Amino acid sequence: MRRASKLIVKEVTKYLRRLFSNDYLRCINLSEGYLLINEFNELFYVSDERLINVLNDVWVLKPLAAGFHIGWFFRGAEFIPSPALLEHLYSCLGVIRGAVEVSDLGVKAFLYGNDILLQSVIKIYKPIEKGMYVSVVDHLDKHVIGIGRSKYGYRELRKLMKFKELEKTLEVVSNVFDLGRYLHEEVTLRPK
Amino acid sequence: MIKEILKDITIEPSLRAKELANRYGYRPYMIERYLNIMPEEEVIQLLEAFERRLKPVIRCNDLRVNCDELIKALSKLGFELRPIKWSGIGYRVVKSPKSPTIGSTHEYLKGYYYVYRDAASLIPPIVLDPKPSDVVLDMCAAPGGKATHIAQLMRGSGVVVANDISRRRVIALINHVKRLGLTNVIVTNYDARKLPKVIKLRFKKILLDAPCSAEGGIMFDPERKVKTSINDLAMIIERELSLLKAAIDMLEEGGVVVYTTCSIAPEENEYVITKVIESRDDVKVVEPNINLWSRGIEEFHRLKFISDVRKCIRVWPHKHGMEGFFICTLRKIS
Repeated sequence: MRRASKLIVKEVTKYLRRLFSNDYLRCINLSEGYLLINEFNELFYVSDERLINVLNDVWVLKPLAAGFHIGWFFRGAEFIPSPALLEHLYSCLGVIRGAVEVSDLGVKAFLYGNDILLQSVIKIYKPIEKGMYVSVVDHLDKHVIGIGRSKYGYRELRKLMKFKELEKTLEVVSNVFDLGRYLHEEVTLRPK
Repeated sequence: MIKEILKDITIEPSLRAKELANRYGYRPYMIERYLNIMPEEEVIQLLEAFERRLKPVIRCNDLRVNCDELIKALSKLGFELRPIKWSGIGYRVVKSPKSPTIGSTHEYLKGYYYVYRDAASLIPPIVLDPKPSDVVLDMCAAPGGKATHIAQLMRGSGVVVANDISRRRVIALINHVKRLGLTNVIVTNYDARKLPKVIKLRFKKILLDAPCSAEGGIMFDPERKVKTSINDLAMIIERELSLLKAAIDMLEEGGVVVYTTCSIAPEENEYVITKVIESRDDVKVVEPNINLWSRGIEEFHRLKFISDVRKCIRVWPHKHGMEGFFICTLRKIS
């Protein structure tokens, strides 16, 4: 694990601002802790002083993970948030942003690695832009069950939802990472 | 060292041991050992207990979910769960539907619980008794059942350094930490025997779940009946000894190490404790905070152990309906 570069910090900040403006700073302040990246391109955020001290003490062991897993960053690509990060921010700020809420059928299909079809979408939360990473939320408990990439912007999605019956099987969010991947416990869990 | 261990642990099987070994499919030395520890009727009970598969156990992650609500949700799916009272957050899965399995429900994926093959694994973290302010080391932590239990007992505060030598298993550990939403864990991948020389940090609490012969878990893996030769056992013991010595080296004064194995072999347990205590004067065996099970055995075959091993915990499959386990608390003294 190593300290994340300025570029990575900038990308993470950009994503969080896009979703929550500066409100996210009330819940996670990247300048107050360490942002770390491991060899699997997983990003971890460590802010607790005690954790930082122990981390420094065991740094020679080249830790593979520490603290809060906030997402992934691959060279030349964008920051991909983790379900845990978005869930933390939704709970901390009391607001869901950049998300699609899906039905039971959608939850089941998504956790099996499938994309989200229009017929499964119950609600959408701004901001959503074409190509943006959004969270997929279980309508029952509002738990984030994974991360997807929206194929449409918010307005287009709104329009499509009005004609749900006609475009039932239209893929609207592609599966990037879902919690179902945790069933493969000895595999490095990379987004698709 | 191995020669000395071999000399100590070699045991000649009797005719009766060979008969029973043949009937149940074991290596004869293992049966001879059981006959040395307990009366024959009890040996038969033990061997019969190893023929019965145990039901899995879950640990509710009360940092993320209300346990009553979790049990209700799992009941709706067709699971029947019985609380394991001494654990507080453990439940035995006594009945399961055809689908899903207990390790593949949406609740599992959301990090609401951890699945064990048995309840005995819940004991060592409870005996370690970590507090939210502690810095704890789990030396051989993968796949993470005990390390995540410790982190949960610390209520997401303090620090758990979860180490394991196996790269593959460490990945499973990281995935469990992420799935359960724990943020007070540092994961490292190192040979735990070398840790005292590499890091200066000293710990108040250490869990050493030593890689062992797994002789207590024959009900899950019947191949264990024949897998470990007496030579293999000597090598395993040597590793257990060096791991325990390393653990003590990394303790601060007054700190405790909980040594545990999923083996019922006295050679891997009371023998290891005795050897370590006899080799140094900075450590002693202490009573655990809980023992609802059996005590350690003081002698076996021609080996006489230190009397303090009576303070250690033994879980017997035929007596306690759980996987065979050994748990012992050692405190570092000045």
